[in-house]
Amino acid sequence: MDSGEQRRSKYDELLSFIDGRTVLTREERAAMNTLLWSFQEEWMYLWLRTRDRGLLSEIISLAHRLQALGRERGIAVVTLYGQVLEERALSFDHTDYEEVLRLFPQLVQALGAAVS
Amino acid sequence: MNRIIIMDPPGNHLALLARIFWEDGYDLSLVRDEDLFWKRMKIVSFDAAIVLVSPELPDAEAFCQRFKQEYGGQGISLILLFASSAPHSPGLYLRWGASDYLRPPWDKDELLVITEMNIKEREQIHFLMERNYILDKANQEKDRFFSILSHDLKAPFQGLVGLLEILYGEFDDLPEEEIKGYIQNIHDSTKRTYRVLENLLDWSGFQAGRLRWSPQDLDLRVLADDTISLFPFCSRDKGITLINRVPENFLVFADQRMIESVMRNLVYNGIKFSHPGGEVVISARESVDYYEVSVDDQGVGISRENLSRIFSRGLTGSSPGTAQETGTGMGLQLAMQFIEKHGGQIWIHSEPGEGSRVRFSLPKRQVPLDRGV
Repeated sequence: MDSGEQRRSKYDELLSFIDGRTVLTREERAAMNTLLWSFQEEWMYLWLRTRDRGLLSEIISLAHRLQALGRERGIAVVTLYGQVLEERALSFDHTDYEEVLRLFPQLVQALGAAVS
Repeated sequence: MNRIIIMDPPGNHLALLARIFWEDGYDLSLVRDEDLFWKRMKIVSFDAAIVLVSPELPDAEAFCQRFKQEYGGQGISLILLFASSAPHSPGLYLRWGASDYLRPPWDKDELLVITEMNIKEREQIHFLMERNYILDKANQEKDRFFSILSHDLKAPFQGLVGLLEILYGEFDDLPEEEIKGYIQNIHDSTKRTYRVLENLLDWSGFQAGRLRWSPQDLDLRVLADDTISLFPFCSRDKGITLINRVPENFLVFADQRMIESVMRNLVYNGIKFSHPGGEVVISARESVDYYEVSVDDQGVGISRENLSRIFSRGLTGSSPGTAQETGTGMGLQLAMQFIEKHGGQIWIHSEPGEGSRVRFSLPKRQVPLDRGV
């Protein structure tokens, strides 16, 4: 797989979770349970600010923080979102990374649905 | 890290420009449409805007002029990149408000140099404008300060000269009681002048950094007693009683000279605005890290309008007291600056006709931690 195919595959994997085609593992659900509130409040606020300001450094920082959180709590889809966002941001194609950025509220909604 | 916003309405060059600037250490915000551009300009503090001039930006003149109007004074550079040959002479864009421009084909290094130079130049201009503004304000304040001060020093001296002329010219013919009265007036006037000079010295010492902040453990009750002792004749002159209700052992960590000045000014204001027969009370209460000192009077009070400007920076003058005492308004300004220097706060609560309560907070004495062995 070339890097373009790898990117598409990660993006498809992300969409698959958002669309409800893949689910969290039991461990991921347990970890997500304690994080859901912070996703719906603090992370949404951070995302909103990042989106409105549109600064590349802040988008990449958001991506790094989500990757670190996903790894630390063992929630693969959170890490995946961070990775996809970082890759797109560093491609400097603003339509590309804004597309992923816009997916964040849907990701939070899907995470909420997965643990309810 | 300098921040730039890049607007490319067709969007064809955004990724390329973004890579160039990102790799050179800039932080970026990329936009295609004008509305989003203005929205981001409002919420992010950018150092420069790089804008592609193409048919998709139909009214580049209006764009430049709006930029100049809204951000021209903030030291933000506007650099235009012409995607194709410009519809007007690029020089016109400079006149309309752009800082610089580049014609096609763009050279990467030239673009980076132009951007860096413009940001540096604008930063210097902005820095100078800011310095000028601060100097202008300081100058205006100094002018105002001298005008109020000269008035407040001149008035009592005029009185003193007049009284002394009478005493000198008519001393042998005046009854003893009248002479005593004149001497009393001379004494009061001299005291008022001395108070203005005292504040002036504190003020100028503080402004020039000569009045150094040397905190030490101070007993608030003792300070209140010392302050009251500075006004031995207020009972006789205006029939006002000064009362110290500060509890014992309220120890603060503060600069003695500054806090003495704060108390002296607040008590003086209390006396000045009290009706004959009134009371001025100094009290204090304890909170977790601070002591809060209050100076209360039942005098004329302060109108809402005057309250709002009472602690505004700069001298605003002061209303005359109940016995027509004059003032510069410098006392409260000094009090505010000295209290802020201690990390405390100062507030006034007042109702016209019902008196005023001025409160200020000071950090408690620092107790060394017992770390054990």
